Amino acid sequence: MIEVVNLSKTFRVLEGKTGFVGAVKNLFSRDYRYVDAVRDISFTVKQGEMLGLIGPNGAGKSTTIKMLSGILMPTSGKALVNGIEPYKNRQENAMKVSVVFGQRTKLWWDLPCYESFELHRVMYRIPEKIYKQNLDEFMEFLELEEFWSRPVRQLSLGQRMRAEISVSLLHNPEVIYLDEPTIGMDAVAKERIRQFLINTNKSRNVTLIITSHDMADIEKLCSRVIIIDHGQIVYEGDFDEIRHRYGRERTMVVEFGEEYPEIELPYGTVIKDEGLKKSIRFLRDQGTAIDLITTLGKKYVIKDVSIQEAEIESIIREIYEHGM
Amino acid sequence: MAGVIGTFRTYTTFTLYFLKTRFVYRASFWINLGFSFLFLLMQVYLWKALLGAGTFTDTTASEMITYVVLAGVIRNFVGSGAAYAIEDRLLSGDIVFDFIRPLSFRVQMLLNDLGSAFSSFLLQSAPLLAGALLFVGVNPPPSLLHFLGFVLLTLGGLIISFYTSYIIGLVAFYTMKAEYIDWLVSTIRSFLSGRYLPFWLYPGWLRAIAELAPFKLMFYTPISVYMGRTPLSELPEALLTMVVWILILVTVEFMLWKKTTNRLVVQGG
Repeated sequence: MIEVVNLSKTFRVLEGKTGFVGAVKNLFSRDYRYVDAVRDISFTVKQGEMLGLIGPNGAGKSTTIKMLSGILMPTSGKALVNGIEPYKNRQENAMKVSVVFGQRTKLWWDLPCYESFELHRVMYRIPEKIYKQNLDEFMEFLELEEFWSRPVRQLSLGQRMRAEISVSLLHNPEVIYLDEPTIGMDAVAKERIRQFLINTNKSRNVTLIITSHDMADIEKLCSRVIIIDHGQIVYEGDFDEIRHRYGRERTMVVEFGEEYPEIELPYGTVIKDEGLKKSIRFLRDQGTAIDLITTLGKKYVIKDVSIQEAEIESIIREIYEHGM
Repeated sequence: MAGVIGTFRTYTTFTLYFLKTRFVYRASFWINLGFSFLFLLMQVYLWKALLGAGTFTDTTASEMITYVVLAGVIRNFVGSGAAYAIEDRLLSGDIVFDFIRPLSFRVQMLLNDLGSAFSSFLLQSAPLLAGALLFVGVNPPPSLLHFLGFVLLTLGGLIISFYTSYIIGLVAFYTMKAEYIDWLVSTIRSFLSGRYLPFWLYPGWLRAIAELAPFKLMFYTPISVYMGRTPLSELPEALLTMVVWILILVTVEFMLWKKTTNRLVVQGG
């Protein structure tokens, strides 16, 4: 479906000299610096997969998406999407894929929302029947009616993204690239978009490639992730595996039935003591949560227990900082 | 055939959308229209005064007024905004969308120009022309053939104007800025195209340069054909020159396209 082989992109960046003298010097001689935005990355994506691309700012996620979608020409290596190189066959590629940028809009800014849909219908030559079928579905799930005839510039961020994603799906693309699709949205709007993307992926078997800063997006949407840092892939695999391999630390919150100023632990340490409620941190290799709670249960009266999984952000941070 | 009709439909719809976006802000239209009228009146009175004073002997006032009115109408068709549009898209980064639509970048930019040409025609040129016909008078062309030649050459002028502006816009892929080159070229163009003066009023040397450049096809050639200043016997030559220039510009664009767009850098993430 998607095959990326040794893909690299180098940008030439102007190294501006600072200060007034520098500014004048800039007029005559310019120094350029070469930045390797993406370095020799390879991966494959299967039809119907939901892949998350994560990494810190400037890691090369967006550049990768822009090469895959045909916007940018790679410096070396190649990407095949549906058997074609997108950046060499932009128009052919455009008919089969869609790109959604959370920070930009492809909708006609000054015109009512429906005009953008109508234009897409004509531009992608969508048969009347498919258009109507798709539109009915989006109208129902994303409640487009409430802003259907309002100019796009007057829409809220959440509304705009609902329209943006719908319009991108009108021509039944096989792949959708989503670059930060939930950026700046409130929790309710985010959840709605996520749910819609999950449904769409299931019902249409469309491939989704998502970059996001919001780990919850990736966690809820993607079965597989690729972590990119400094233009290179530092991890590729299941989301659960990351959690398993890196989430060695666990925290158990125990609510005791009586006050115990001091408790004896088989392993782990108390990191927070709120009287009856104590948080105990232990490592996965030291023992299981069940063992810990059974041991404690023999000595103390326990009312309630909850286990907190390691935050995915901290796991990613661990990978960034310490490598694989 | 169905493919051709489909393409045509896409193009007309696209043009219509560019046109619609220009109807959104009403105030700017009225201001533009008012400005065009004032500018035309100013030129008309200027020419009446100059010709009344006997400055030029081979041109009548009604001829000059006809020239000025036609130039005012043509202006909307040959004033390509492609360079500006490309620069704007590069600076905002919205160029990404032009590269993921199932239409070539060139066609999108051309349709953008056509949208603005037709909206300007409807909202500026048409009322301007009506006003001019009512109040100042415009000479009719000597024959229908003269008029057809005028229309064909104006369309050619539109394509030449588009391609020059578009090629300047491609330079922005290197420099991020096309504004200054665009400004420079449009200044040169306003001399070499005959935007304000017909070539027969130019000094010999300037006329010689202007005859060599493609810009004459934007104003001077079509208008002088309309007025019968260029005899019909010279029309085939004018049309051939037009075709040759279009071919040259198309070739230049073709050679530049890949080189420039490979250098695309998207601003703002």
